[in-house]
Amino acid sequence: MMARFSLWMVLLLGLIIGPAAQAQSTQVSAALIDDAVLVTSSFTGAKVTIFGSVRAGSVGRTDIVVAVRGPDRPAWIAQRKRTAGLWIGKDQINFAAAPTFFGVASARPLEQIAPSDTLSLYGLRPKGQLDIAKASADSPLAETLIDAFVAQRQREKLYVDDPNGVKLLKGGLFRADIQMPDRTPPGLYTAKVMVFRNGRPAQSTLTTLVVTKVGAERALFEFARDHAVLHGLAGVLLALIAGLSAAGIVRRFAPG
Amino acid sequence: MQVYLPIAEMAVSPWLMATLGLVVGCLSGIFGVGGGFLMTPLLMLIGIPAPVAVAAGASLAAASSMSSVVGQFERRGVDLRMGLVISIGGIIGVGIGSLLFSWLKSQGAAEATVRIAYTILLGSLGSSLVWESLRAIAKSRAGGPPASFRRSTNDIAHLLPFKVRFPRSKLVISIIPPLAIGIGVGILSAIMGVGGGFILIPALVYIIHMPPNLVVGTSTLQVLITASATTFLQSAANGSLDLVLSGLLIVGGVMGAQVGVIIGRKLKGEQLRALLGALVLLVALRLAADLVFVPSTLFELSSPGGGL
Repeated sequence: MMARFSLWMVLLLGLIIGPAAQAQSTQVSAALIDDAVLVTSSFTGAKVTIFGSVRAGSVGRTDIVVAVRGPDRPAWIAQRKRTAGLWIGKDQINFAAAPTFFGVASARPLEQIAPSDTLSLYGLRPKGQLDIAKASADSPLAETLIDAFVAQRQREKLYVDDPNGVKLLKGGLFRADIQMPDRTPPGLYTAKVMVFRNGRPAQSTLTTLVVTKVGAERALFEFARDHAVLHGLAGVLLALIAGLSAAGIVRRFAPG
Repeated sequence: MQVYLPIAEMAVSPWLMATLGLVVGCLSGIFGVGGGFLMTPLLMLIGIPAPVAVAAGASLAAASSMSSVVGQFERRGVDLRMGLVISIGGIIGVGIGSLLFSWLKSQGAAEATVRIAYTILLGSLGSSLVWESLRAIAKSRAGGPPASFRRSTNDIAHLLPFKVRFPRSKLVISIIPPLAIGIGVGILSAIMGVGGGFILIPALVYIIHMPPNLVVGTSTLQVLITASATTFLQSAANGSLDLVLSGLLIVGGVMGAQVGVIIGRKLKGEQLRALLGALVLLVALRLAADLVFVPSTLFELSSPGGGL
């Protein structure tokens, strides 16, 4: 409800102050359609939609880039290696923190919007967001493994870059859609809207959304976390009772 | 349709999971193995984090072996005393194995040694099982006397001290071999992360000389005890047991186990051993292929949630 309301406020505000602000500087305001993503037992991913309005001068080109970033978690990647003709052992590097989800949407490919150093500086490239652990930083394979890590997460749709994710509507309004996969973990997510004027960052705004497990998913997750021993016993009991009842059913209907 | 797994933090198809459970449960019913050597890699292929896959495989093994051991008990196909002695050995073995594993890990190239040794062990075990049982089948085909089960009284099990009576198996043997077998299987489980049922069965046949009609039931009992303990420990220590995933696998698994028991009852001892030998050989070949060929997944990643 709140989200819906603030959305209308944003759009309204955009329409009112827009023309006045035009002369001085770029103005952007944005809001999420839903500021909570609920993970239920039928969760298969979610689409995050951001509406907003931008007012900018009429000279040159305005671009809008929206980035949604999941909570940071530790991570690692290992590469299997061949020794004496056999695939044994591996090289591993650890990340002290890596975004669990990193989705960027824009109306045209990012490379056309701004130079790549600018994109990295303003946190629009997943590679720059990885915090490699101290012990792994000197590894000669670090560069290869970091690239492989980003590539793998892109394959899993956890790191996405959608050059058609932003739709520019009439009157400086825009809409951005970012698709999150089922594997996106719960936590606090940040959504950043950036306005580029002629390839230079002009203005940005931040908002947050929450991905949270609800209902049975939440109950089971909290049970496992808070009562590990009981949860283990429940798991064993579930298995044994299921086994017993299957044997009982079969005996009743197929004796001998 | 997809169902979200609360601990693995991803969605899976419930039908696929139940089918996987059915197939592995069926093997469990036929041979008295847990099937972890199949289940864990299959689940990891789908993208389930390794610790979750191990815990789910263990809970499936517990359920399918429970499902089939009931019938085995009714048919008096379980040597309870032997099963308990081996399981006690197994628990000791898991303890030794965990210590050994951390020591091996600190020694660097240890994983390699273990994997090569394991491949060779399974390869020779599988081929000797197939060879022996095919010869036995050929012999009975040729019309000779039914493959007599050698019950010598001067083998290692009879020569060692601390003799114990195993009435169901009609054996009076030293307690050392079954205990040692249990310890060996336990060490393997701790190092390789598999239950080891497919090693236990040939050991029961060739070292203990247990009557063939008791082998599968007794092995199933041992799988039941080990798998239950693993399920509990994985949940209590790592928090990696996903009850939704386990539930889906178990639904298929317990049914598969019943089918497996029926199939198993129609097979003769040597046919059973030939099939098991073929299965063990397949696992050995897969391990060997993993060592020799360029792996399909050159990179391994932590799960997105990062917790597991």
